Amino acid sequence: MAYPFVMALYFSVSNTVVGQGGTFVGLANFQRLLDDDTFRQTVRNSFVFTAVAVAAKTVLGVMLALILYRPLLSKRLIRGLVLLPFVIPTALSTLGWLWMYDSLYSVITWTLNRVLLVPLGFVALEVNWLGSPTLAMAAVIVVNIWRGLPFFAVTVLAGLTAIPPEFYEAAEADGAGRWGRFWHVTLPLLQPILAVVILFSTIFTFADFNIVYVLTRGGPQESTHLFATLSHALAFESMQLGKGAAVSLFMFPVLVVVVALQFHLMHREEIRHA
Amino acid sequence: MSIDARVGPIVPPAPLTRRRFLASSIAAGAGTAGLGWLAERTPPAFAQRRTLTALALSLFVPSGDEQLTQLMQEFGKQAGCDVRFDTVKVTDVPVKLAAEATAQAGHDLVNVWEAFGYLHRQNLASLDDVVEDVGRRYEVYPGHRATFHIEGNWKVAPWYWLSFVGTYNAKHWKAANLSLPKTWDDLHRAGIELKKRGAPVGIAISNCTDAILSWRNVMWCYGAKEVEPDGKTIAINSPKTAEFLEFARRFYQDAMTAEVLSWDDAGNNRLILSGKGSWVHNPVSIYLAARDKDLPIMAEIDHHEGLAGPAGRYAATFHHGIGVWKFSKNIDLAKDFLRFLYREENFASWVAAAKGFCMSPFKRFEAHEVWKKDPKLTLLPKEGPYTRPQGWPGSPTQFIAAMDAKYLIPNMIAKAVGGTPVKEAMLWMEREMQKIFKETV
Repeated sequence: MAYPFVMALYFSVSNTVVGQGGTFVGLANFQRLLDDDTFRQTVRNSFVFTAVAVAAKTVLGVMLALILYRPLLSKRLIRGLVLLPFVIPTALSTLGWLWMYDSLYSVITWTLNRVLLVPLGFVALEVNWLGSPTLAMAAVIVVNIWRGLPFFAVTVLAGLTAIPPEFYEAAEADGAGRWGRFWHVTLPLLQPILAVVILFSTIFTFADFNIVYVLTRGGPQESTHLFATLSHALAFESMQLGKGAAVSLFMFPVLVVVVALQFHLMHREEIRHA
Repeated sequence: MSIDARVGPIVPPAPLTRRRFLASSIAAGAGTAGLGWLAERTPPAFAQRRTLTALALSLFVPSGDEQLTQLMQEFGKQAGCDVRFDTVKVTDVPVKLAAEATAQAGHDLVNVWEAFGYLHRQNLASLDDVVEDVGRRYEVYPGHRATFHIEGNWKVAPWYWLSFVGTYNAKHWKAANLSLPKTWDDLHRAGIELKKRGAPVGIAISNCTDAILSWRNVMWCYGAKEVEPDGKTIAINSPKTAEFLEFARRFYQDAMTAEVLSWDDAGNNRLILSGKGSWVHNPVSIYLAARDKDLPIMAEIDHHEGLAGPAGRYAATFHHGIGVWKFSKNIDLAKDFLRFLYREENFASWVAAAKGFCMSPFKRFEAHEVWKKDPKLTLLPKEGPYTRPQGWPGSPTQFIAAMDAKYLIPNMIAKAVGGTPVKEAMLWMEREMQKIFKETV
């Protein structure tokens, strides 16, 4: 388990070029990255991407879990269907999204542009999902949310089923309404499981690769590059294995902090319960 | 010290049963065979049969891969070896090459293109003894020589190149009563009229390979270049680049739509196949796809020769070749296979199987039937002399590969068409090049 990590550490402090080896350069790769506009843009992109996607997945995931918890017709079938985005290989499902975002063939784009925006005179606002930096970032975030939502929903659903009904009955007896029961019973009891899900999701989202690689390759004008896609471009397209490894290791301290914070919160929760 | 003292107390042997005898005999037999194999330092007969392995990207035309597999199998029969031909997605090849070079193990023959020959030159065996002879017989185009004749040796054997030509929808051009362009300025003028009629032209201005190739092509035609012939002197900041960027800006505004800002490598294919687009710069894959699927639009798609600019006519393309790893255990066998592949009848059969999509790197095959059978493909072989390697007039080095990995050319153009002054966009690219230069040269 440690070998790839140790190799990545070694590469990050060397000027290794694929096929040509390299020498120890200390922290020069990290220094150069800090001076690199593309890298700084990538850091911004990664934080925006992760923060927005994880927040949206948390809110929507809890909402979806609450819907799935209710008595539904064909409950099993619906729960199975909800899992589909998580089960389909990401590269494949992202190709579907590529078509939905296509400037020429997409029904969504066509409807927005030809039925709404252009007839109403907003020609300048014509949508080109993957052609504008802001829309492209929104587009990749939406796909990440779509893909990660089932993981949140199913895990939270498991948490919901573990809450004893007596708690709700007691709250109801105390006069708590639907919102009160959610706020004072459901949410506090879901906290430990939410902490774990958010921890995992933050790690996965931060290290996302497929969605950006398939949809934008980091463009337009580097506006959607994440650590993983930039690292791939540097290591395997420009052959700077050392610099590519340094990019991927920049994520490491951030993820360590996230993990430590989550463990701290979980530990505090355990003590509180004890 | 007696022998007995050294080995410990003597234990009386256990009685020999039939089961013990069989087990001991099998163990002794296996042990003797194994030791003999090790002592003679030659593998046992069953392991002596060699396997020649090759790795290449999956061709757009699968029949080309099938024919190469057949040729390898035929060679295997003649040479008394097993063969294996692995094809992977184009985007996976660089990763595979990197992994094999780092591990110093992998396939024997590998498909490389453009900068990969230069990048892996230290791990590639010299193929002079194969290619010099082939070059004399068939005449290699200058583009392939400039790409794969590295530091005095043929490090990669030429295989094919892709012809980026003007692909147009004849219906739109006829409706607008326009004659086919000879220069980029002609195309700009025609594009203005075509866009007004709702049939825009398109070259990707995005993070995709086609954008790099097509715009580099235009750039050369305007006399602009990234580096001087030494490959080290940065030359992007020049009046020629400014002129090129002005053209790109006008061309985008007058003849294209914003869709090109989001294209991937299939964007131009989609524009023409939709029937909406009037012109794109692409290999003939669009036409071949329409022909193979018998789409009605096939009749409307045609091609014209490469366009010229104020500085002349050039063509950016991907020059593909086959390298042999230095660490391969079958270097001679791999070279024999290349000689087999280069037999006239064999290479001609592969060119035919690739249906005209893969262009021959040799002048000798310009007259191949595959380009005569279909009048829409006849012009393709004539593009051969105009191709240049990425980074021309320098070589396709790691410096160029690193620039392309950051999509500097399309990003410079995206800035210019997005409102950044031309001079500022050019200076941005120069600064980026300087940073990359420090790290790679």
